[in-house]
Amino acid sequence: MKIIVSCNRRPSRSSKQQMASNTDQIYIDKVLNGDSSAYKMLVDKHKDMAFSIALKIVRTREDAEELTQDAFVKAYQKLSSFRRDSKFSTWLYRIVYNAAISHTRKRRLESTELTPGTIENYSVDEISESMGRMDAEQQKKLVNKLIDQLPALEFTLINLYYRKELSIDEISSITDLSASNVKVKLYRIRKAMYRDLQKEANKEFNKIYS
Amino acid sequence: MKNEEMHQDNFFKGLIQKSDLEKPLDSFTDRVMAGIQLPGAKPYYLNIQKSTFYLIPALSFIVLTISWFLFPYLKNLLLEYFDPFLVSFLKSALHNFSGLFQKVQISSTTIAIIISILGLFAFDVFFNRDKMWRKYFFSQ
Repeated sequence: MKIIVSCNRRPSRSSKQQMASNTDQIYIDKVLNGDSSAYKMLVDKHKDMAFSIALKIVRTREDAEELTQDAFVKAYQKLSSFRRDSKFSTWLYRIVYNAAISHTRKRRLESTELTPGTIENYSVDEISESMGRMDAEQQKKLVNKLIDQLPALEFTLINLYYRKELSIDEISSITDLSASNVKVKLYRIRKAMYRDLQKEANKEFNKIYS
Repeated sequence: MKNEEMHQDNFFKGLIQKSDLEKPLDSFTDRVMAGIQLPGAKPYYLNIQKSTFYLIPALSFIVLTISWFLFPYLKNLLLEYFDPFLVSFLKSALHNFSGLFQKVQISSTTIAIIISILGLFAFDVFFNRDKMWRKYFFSQ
């Protein structure tokens, strides 16, 4: 008698990323074999992240759209020279990021220095308790507001790390920051966002119950 | 400590993934696809490796140079063989444009080179006319 055991494990960060990367490779191979329509899948998959990074840096929607569009066309033209040792998304975001930086005529992005002294320690339980007092829509609104307030570099870092789940090394190659710098910045952004979340959540709570 | 860090990391990831990303206009994908369909944007992949591409003309040049110096009789043979044809062809051509090229004196070797280059150019345009404005890439 055979016993079938269902192993419904949640894929880890690396295996999920590997799957996404493999899908990209399939479309890339199709494009290189002459099926240019396969590129549409890659555009649809990565356009929101690419556009958000560009918009945060250049600040106007028209410029960000044009820049992102050009980056996709450029990536298409150079697809055969794309080295498979990195992910397509890493390569594309680097093109977008560099184009946006060049567009603003600055090599370095404005970044708020979050000094360790200003960062207090908040526990996750404390924050989730405060957040728990809000409904899902309020939570989303609050997180959107806080992310929107972040400077371009910090916005790019947290989105690439927490949303797209890129590794520290990949983020480092996109932004030209050292790996240790990326780590420190991510730590500081997280702490600063915890602090702001706590404040905002308390404010919301007081507004409702006062 | 590591568990606490991971817990914080997961909590933060959950928060970030709750938020929305900015979206470009609905027509964005169509515009990109139109952009890549432009003749200049279309990549054309040569079926040879970059090293081979440079190796062929380099080897041809070396072989021709060596032959030219090592076997001078080949040069004379080629010129003697082609000259009568070229001279008669040019004579009739000059006759048709009487007066126009009478004072122009070009050696038959130079004319042969010019005609060869023009011929190769015409040949190339004819066979690659659909790829004229494409960008070329080497295969990996």
